[in-house]
Amino acid sequence: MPVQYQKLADYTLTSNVYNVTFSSISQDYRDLVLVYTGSGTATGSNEHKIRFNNDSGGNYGYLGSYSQQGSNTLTGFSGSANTGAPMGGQAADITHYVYIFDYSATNKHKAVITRGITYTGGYNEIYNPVSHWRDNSAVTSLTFASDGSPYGYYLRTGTRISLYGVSA
Amino acid sequence: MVSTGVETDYYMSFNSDETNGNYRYSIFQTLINGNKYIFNGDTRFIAYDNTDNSSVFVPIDAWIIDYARTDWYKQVLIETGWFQQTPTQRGSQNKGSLMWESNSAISSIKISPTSGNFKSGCRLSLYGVKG
Repeated sequence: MPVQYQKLADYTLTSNVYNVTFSSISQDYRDLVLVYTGSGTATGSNEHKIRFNNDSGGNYGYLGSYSQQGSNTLTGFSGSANTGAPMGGQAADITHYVYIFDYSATNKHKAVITRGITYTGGYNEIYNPVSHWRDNSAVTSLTFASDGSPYGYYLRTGTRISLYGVSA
Repeated sequence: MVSTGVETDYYMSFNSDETNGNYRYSIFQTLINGNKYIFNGDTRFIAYDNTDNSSVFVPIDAWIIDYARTDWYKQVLIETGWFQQTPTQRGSQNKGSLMWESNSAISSIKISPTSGNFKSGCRLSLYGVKG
């Protein structure tokens, strides 16, 4: 069978929602890819996050770099106890391309590489974190949400989120 | 995703050519302490690993562009990164490229650590993007 990206789910929001969850994810693929284009109501430094298997504990480590429009500076960042794999900011039209490696493995933490154009504090940013979910469990569900406990801000109407399985 | 359990670099080579002088690499690296570095040189470097947690593996995303052409050098775009909380908090994000100064079509690829061996659980996959 030729290798391909198989679309597993594709949502375009018809109302503002707090989060989008993909559940009962097939374990038949090698990796997962999530593509997000949309906007949210989060403000300030609040950001989008991805959570696996409904884990909203501080079990996500991350590091990366970002650069803002109008700046010649590249800024590094990291954290060890985030409540989700960070995707960056929030309000204006933004895009994330998220690659989740070996999601069905039960012998390793889950690694995520994110490429995104985000919007934070009035500036567009190129935002590229790598994240690890410190859990050996296979990923069976994935939630995309904004900051908050458990979810504080809306994903706006018209936002599109798609999940693909990369065939093994 | 790969790991050896010891500090190592990972090298990529093509068609059994392991002569470092035939390769050029350039990497931008961000470490967990926020320090940023730019590395470049004449080796086959594609990724760095300093994990010693048995559950932490290093993801490597490498795109080998136009691998079958015979009229220019081969370029690889690389992105990798890892984060470890225990036993010691560490992490590294690398973005960069590798160039093989050969016009030969790529018929074989070798990935190897400079220290240690790939440990059980590593998974490497090769995909062809259809033209």
